[in-house]
Amino acid sequence: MTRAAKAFAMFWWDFLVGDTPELTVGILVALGAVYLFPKGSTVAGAVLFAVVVVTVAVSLTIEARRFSKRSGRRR
Amino acid sequence: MSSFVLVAAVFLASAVEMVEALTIVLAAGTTRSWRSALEGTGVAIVVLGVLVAAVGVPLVKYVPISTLRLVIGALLLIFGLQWLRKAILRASGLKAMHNEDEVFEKEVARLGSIPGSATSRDATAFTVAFKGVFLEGLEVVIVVLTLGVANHRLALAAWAAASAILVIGLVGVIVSRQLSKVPENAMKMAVGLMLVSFGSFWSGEGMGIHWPLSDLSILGLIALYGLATLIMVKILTGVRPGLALAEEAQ
Repeated sequence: MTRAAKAFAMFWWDFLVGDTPELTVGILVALGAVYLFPKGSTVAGAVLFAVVVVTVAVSLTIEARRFSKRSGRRR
Repeated sequence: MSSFVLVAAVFLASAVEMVEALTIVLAAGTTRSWRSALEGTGVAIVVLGVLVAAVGVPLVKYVPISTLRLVIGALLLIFGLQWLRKAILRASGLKAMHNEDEVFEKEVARLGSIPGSATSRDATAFTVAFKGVFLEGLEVVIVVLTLGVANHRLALAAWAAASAILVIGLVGVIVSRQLSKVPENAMKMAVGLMLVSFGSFWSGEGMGIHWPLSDLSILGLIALYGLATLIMVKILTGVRPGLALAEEAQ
């Protein structure tokens, strides 16, 4: 039973966080930012879009740096 | 209009996962036993279908739609961004393309080294096919549940997934070992864009955002995220000339 619960928790952890925790944090920040706007706001949609794009950009930058380090080690 | 995008997203996501599952089933069938591999596939599909009905139907019936859209929107955003990120990295050469031929050859070599069974049924072929279809199918189940439940069109999403499984299954039978010709990364990018757009739309709706043009905003979001994706691929490809030595696929 404990093993099953652990496996279930691990599945969701891998699914939601995995090796890209910055994406999960970014989405939480985006939703938190939207929460600050009054209901019915249109600007909040633009903010959500902007934070999501920045989140992917940050994640890609992290990966590009890792790639650059690995390539440097190979050469 | 959102129904069309919903069907397209579920169909493409299911097709991508089905290609990966089919590679494993083909390897198990070719090297071990077709009968057992197909039985494993069938059982996995039935279990996945039961999972969709068991989890999806109560969600649609008993959870308020605004709560569902917020939670599901957030899940779709995370899931979609993971797909999109991977597709951008592959498109820009920072990550190796997923090569189904290579996966097939490796799986065939691995399965060929396992001793055969004396009975007419092959437990290895059954288990490998079941695990492959079930694990790849879990992602399909999550896409079907999230998109279907948030849009209150669970049956439509399930049919779109079933159609993709049927189409890729038939194509797989015809082209057999030419699965590497499927434009998997382009499909993955398209699905990622749709999931992120649906995720933004629904999590926003759940939090009270007013989207101009209502459901049509999903198309606008797809276009905007698509544009941002193209720019990111261009930038990443440009800043790494000569360093496009793709790392091993994870």
